[in-house]
Amino acid sequence: MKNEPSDSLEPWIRERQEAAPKPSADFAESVLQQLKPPRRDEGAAKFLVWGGKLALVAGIAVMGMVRTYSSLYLMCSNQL
Amino acid sequence: MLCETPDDESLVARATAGDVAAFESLIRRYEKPVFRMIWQMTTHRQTTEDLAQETFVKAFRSLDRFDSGRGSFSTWLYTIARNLCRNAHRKVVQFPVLKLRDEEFSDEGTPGENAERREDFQRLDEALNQLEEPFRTSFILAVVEEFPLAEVAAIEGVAVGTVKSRVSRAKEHLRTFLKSSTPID
Repeated sequence: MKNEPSDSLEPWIRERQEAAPKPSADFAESVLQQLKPPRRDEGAAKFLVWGGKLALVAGIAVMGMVRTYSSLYLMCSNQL
Repeated sequence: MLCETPDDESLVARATAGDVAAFESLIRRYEKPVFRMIWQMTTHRQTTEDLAQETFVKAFRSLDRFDSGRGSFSTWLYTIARNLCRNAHRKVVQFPVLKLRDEEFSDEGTPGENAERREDFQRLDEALNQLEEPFRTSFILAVVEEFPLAEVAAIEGVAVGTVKSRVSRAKEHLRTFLKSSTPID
């Protein structure tokens, strides 16, 4: 059966076929944009920068605490 | 120099291996028929754009599940599009009825005849919108988009005879609707 759009339905079917729009010129590009994986390199760089800063601050804080406690220990042991 | 156009199968194999350029060739090959098909199912430009994009994105992400032994790439792609359209149709209940443009009728017949034709077309659009599945999809694919019946059968996952029967029933409903202007059950 070759699809026979005969009789009363035919003009309407032809009209629908002609009315169908075409995809936009950048359709393929829009699809390809969605296929790109998320930019992990950017995220990793941010993580390294902030992680490094945090580690530095934490290191300074720990060193300060060690120095404070060791000074206190020395002071106390000298007094005894 | 003779430049051979690669067939679907080789493009699919390359795309499955991560070659995005090969998939771009497939998009360019099928964007128009997929877009047309979806538009006939939705008659809404933005919905068509969104669903067509979703069809290709979904196809790309499921390429490893495509089995060329079970059918062609085009049939598989149209099946994805048809499923997305059906899901969207369920969500919105009804797509907007296509509005015919006046200028399409300007050079044929008298103004009275044109108005009558416009009304008939509008009624047929409404009737098609109300037509139940799977009659609606079979009619759109086989009659409006003129896909070969074997391809419609493959997309719908039924026998060719079933498609013929669905199309025949859909036409009967539409003709009855046109004559009587009563809603289709």
